[in-house]
Amino acid sequence: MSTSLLVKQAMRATPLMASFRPATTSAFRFNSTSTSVTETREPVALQAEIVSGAPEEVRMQPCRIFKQSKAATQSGITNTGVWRLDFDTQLQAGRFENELIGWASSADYMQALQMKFISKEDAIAFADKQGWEFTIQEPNQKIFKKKIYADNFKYSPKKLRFVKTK
Amino acid sequence: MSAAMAAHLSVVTAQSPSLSAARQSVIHLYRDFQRGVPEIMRTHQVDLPMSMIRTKIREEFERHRDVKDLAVIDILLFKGRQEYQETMNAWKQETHIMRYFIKDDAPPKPQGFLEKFLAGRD
Repeated sequence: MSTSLLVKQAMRATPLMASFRPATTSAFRFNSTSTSVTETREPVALQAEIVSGAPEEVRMQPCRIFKQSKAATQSGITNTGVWRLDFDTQLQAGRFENELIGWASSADYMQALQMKFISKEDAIAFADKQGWEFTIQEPNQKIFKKKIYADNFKYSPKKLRFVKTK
Repeated sequence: MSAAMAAHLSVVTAQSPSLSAARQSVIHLYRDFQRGVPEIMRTHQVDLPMSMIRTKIREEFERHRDVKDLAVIDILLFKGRQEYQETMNAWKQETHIMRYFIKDDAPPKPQGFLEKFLAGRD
């Protein structure tokens, strides 16, 4: 069995898979100066899922792109501006007790990963490039209604807010 | 002397101008690996049969058979060349070679509630 023939079969042209990845950045800048006919390189977003070295099971794990909501008990909003990418906790995450000390261990290598992005589009581009299944959780926009004390005493054709009777 | 050691079997990383050029580079790398299998077995004292190592090399190349993006192929070529250099120069040890076969020898994961319970796993 000649290996060269097998390898040639391996490299025979197959229909190109449609790439739905946005061509935001080009990993390579290629200047073609030769006059002979060569295949031009289209600047496409590098499919990092192939070369990242991550296990293939990671692509099956769903992740979530969200903005952390403000703690209702506090008025600080420092952590609410940044977009985060987090992996959902698996049902069968391979949790076990460490044999030596008894620590609560997990076989899920993505459970501690939380990434931060400046914008939603950056997070989507990253997850897309890595081949992860993501869902976007839109943040709840807080509707703030301005309240003016003088409105309590203004004329109203409808029912009064405060009924002043003595 | 260390600079010469570092340069041994190193290849200048180049952007492949076309798919056919990339294909040639891949075939050269594949042939280098297969030609180097006896030396790998001798250097690293691998106890596996030669056929198993050759099959594993073939398997690793087959995994990325359908990649058509030139940029990705170039990175895979670079990583492949890196692996070849590290293996042939004995910068890797036997444990790194055996890491390729770890999934084949892994014990089966516990199935069903009782097996998982006895193994202490979720």
